[in-house]
Amino acid sequence: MDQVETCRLKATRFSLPVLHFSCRDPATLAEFIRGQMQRARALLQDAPILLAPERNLDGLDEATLLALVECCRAEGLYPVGLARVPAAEHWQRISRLRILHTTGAATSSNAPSRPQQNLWMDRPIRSGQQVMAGEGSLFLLASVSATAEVLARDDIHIQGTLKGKALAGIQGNEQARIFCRRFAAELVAIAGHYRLFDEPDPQLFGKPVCIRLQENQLRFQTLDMR
Amino acid sequence: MAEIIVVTSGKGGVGKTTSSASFAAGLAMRGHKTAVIDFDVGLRNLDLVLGCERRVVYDLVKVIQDEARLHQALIRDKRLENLHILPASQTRDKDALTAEGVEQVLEELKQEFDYIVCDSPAGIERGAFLALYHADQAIVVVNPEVSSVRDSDRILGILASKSRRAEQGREPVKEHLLLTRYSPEKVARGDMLSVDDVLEILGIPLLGVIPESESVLQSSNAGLPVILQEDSRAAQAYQDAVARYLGEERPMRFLEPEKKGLLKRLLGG
Repeated sequence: MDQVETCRLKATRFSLPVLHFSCRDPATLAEFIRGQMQRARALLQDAPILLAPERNLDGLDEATLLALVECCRAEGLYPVGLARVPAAEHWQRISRLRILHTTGAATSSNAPSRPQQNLWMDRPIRSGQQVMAGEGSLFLLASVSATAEVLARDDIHIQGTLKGKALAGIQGNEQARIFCRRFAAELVAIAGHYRLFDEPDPQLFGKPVCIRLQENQLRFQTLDMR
Repeated sequence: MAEIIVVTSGKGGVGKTTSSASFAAGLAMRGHKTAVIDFDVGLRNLDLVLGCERRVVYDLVKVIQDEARLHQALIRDKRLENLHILPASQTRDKDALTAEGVEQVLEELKQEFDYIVCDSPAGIERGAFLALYHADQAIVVVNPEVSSVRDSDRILGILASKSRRAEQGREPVKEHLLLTRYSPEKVARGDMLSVDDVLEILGIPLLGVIPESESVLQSSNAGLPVILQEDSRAAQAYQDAVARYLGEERPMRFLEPEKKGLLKRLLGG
């Protein structure tokens, strides 16, 4: 009989709403928050949120930050931390909020910061399997079966048929692309922007296709491979 | 040194045991000393299909648990002297199989047999996993039907990543497709996947196509491996498959709807 575990410390991912603000006028900030609460009270009531000042803390003074925190609390929001703030102790002290380090830096420049290490594979990715190229691009010289998944930090190149799911740019690289010789995918995604194909798209099905992200929309291009 | 062949599929009821019995018999008929092992602990069928169910005294689990020696458990087929059967236990379940136990049994069998055919149970759990773990070659049995194909794709993935050969970075398990219960008439009507459809999805070499045949049910009930029922189309297809496995070139038969001659149609054959 297994022992019943009583506690566990486990890393878990959560989604938190983040209030990004470039404005430095307390009154405007207060008005914005009230407006948001009016529109989406059900969603935001008692929600833990992060405060993320934009424009690098330019012009942000203690008074404004405190006023913002107070306003949030008054409206029923729970600021739990500051994001994108240098780990300077005094911000933490003033606001009494923890400073959380986010990977927010990635959104300002899409160039991957770690050296690229691509993954090359030449065997088919079978139903139920998942392959991830966490440090670069994935080059597959075979096909991806239905229900199989391929993921990559950067691009995905499939010299075969894509029938399963392909997720590129999984750490936020919006320049990532997906190529395949025959398109029959169930789902494709680039940097979190995805499209599900519950019906095959007649314009794309069976054709060589290149997919990229432009202005937050997935763009599909059939390639002429003659 | 012996070759270990797993007959697997993922999906249940597609013809693994039928094919294991006939394939092993086919190898034995050609003079190779062959052992066929039933890995379906608790739901044993191989002994029935080979007609030796009344001669089962000891089984694979008893050998693994040291309650019997391998030679006490092996049953020699009455029709083919080169064929030996190691039945599964009927009273225990798959948890009674241990990886070490299976390895020891296979090592012992390798000393005196040319081929060891492992009849896998359905699924991807322990029994199926232990049956495929030590394989050198795999015969993946598939019906021309979407769920069977998808389950076989899954099994192929497991063979490629979790077999012992994969774990040790050796040459991968060689994969062969055996398409069973094929009906060219249904394929022509569009009710059934064709050979090409299945090959397109699975992408492994085709070992053989066994046509749907009443002789399979009849043989099963009679405890005779299909391959020994000489006049049946399924038997001939199994013979072709064994021949191809051993390196002979044989054209694929039974892929076209049967053309009934005038006499056959008059006599209702």
